[in-house]
Amino acid sequence: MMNNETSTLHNRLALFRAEAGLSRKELAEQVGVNPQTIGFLERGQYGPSLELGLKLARVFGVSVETLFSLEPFAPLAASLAAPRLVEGGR
Amino acid sequence: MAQSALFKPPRFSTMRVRVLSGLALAALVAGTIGPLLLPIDGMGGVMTMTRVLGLALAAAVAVGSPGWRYVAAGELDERERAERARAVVIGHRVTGISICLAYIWLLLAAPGRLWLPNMHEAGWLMAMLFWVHVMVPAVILAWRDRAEEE
Repeated sequence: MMNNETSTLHNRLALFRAEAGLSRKELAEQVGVNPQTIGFLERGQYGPSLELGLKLARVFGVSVETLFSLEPFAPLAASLAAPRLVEGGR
Repeated sequence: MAQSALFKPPRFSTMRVRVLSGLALAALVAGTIGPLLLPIDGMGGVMTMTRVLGLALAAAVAVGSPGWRYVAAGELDERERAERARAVVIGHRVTGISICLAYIWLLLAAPGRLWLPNMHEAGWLMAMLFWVHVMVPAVILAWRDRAEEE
C-alpha cells in the first residue's frame, strides 16, 4: 500500500470536476499534477498534501472542507432530496 | 540544473515499460538460468546474445522510466514521488532477500555438495541480479499506473 493511501479521507472531487465540465487532464494541468493522480485522488487511493488539496479547492472556488472530509459525504441523491422533504413538510 | 540540461532522459509510456520489462526479464532468465538447468550444448552464442539482449532491454527500461534513475526536480508530482519511493523500497527488499538466499546457498553448498556456479556463470548471475534490481522500481510503477488514464 502506498504511504498516502487513505481510507479516512473522503472527497467529492469527481462530483465537482464533472459539474465543472473538466476532464482529468484539464484539472491536472490547473493544479500541476499528472492526470493519473487525479484518478488516484478520485478513487481515494491517494491522500493529497495540504498544498494540493488547497489548489484543488481553489480551482472549484470552494473551501477545502467542502471538497475533502474525514467523514463520508452524504450521497448526492440524499443531499438533493433533503431540502425538498423539508419544503414538502411545511 | 546542469545535469538535467546535459541529458534529459526519455519517459516511456506505461505500456512500453510493461512490454520492454517483460521481454527483458524473459531474455535474462532464459539466457542466464536456462543454460544452468537445460542441456543446451552448442547454443552458447545464442544464449549469450539472449543475455545481452535482456541486459540492453533492462537498461532501456531503467533509463526510460523514473524508477531507479536520477529524477529531475519537478519531473514527478507528489503522488508519483510517493509511488516511486515505495517501489524503490520494494526493489531494495527483493534484492536484499535474493542476496541473502544466495549467501545461504553459498554457506550450504560446500558441506552439502550442492551445485555452485563457475566464475563465468556467477558473473552472468550477478549481472542479471543487478539489472533486475535496477528494473524492479520501474516495473512496479508501470503495473501500478493505469494506462487508460494517460
